[in-house]
Amino acid sequence: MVQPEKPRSKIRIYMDILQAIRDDGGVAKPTHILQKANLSHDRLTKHLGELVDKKLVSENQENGNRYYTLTENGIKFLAELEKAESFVAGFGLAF
Amino acid sequence: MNSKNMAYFPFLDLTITFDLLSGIVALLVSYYAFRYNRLLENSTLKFISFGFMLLGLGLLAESFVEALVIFGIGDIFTARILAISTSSLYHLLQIAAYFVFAIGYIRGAYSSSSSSKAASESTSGSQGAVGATASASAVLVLVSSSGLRRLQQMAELSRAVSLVSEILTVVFLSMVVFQGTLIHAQSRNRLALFVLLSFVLILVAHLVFLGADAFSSLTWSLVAGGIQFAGFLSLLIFLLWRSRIGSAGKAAQ
Repeated sequence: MVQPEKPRSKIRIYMDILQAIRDDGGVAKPTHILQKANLSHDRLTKHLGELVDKKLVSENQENGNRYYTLTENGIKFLAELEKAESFVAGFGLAF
Repeated sequence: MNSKNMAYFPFLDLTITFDLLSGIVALLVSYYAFRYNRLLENSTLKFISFGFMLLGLGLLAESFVEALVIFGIGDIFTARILAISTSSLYHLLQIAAYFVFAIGYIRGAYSSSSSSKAASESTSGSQGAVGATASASAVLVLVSSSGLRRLQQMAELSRAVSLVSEILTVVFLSMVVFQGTLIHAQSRNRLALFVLLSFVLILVAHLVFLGADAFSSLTWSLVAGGIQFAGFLSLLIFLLWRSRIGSAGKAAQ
């Protein structure tokens, strides 16, 4: 399929952030997420805030460092997104 | 059950099973497309969901009425009228479904998502379905004026509808298969291969159905039903494999 390069959708960015945290064992520093999800600092802060509000991720402080942890809801949401991704890929779609 | 139906009973039984299972798979795909459209808000998924819903309902309705006919529920005259009407309705739903797929695939491939365009295409898809329903209603009106000659005319009309429907279905499916080939050539995605394989098998099935209709061959019709069922089986494998990938992702965390 001939598709022009599209900017990532919000849901795709959420998925990239959640996957970045999961790949770090469920707990990740903002710098790791920023790198893995390929986001600017401002956009990461904005989207992480939204994920915290939706209770998909929780924010913790330890020894002056900030960490983000995947919640139970976040794990379920990510699994659903991965299933959706594999379904739409079968029809040549992306999100 | 009359003697003719008795003679064909094992084949019709198989046809009913193929249609019933294929219909269930089509409705499953429609359900998942609907569910993921709510999550991802991807308009192409709406087309996929609507198309598979039409196809699934058509297949289930046809298998239900075929069962009524061969198990001799109701008098044979009413059963035949019902079978002819449902067959015509199924063919019209089928055209609408594959038309929706063709539009959805082409739209997903080449156009940027503009809401106004989506609305107009959605309307044309609905018009197809409305047209199909109207035509089926016309067939039902014809049915109500009973008589053997009328029944014969209806059978001829049903055969003509079936032939035209098969030709249109083959045209729309060819467009879907062409797009599916492009998708797979670019992505090399195994899941896309299963979906492509299913559409290829369904296309081959409709080519065989076309030949079977043209030469009134029950054997070829049965072969076509088997190929179509294999196509839906491929879609079922796609659904199961996709679900395994999702679970693997969850287990990995």
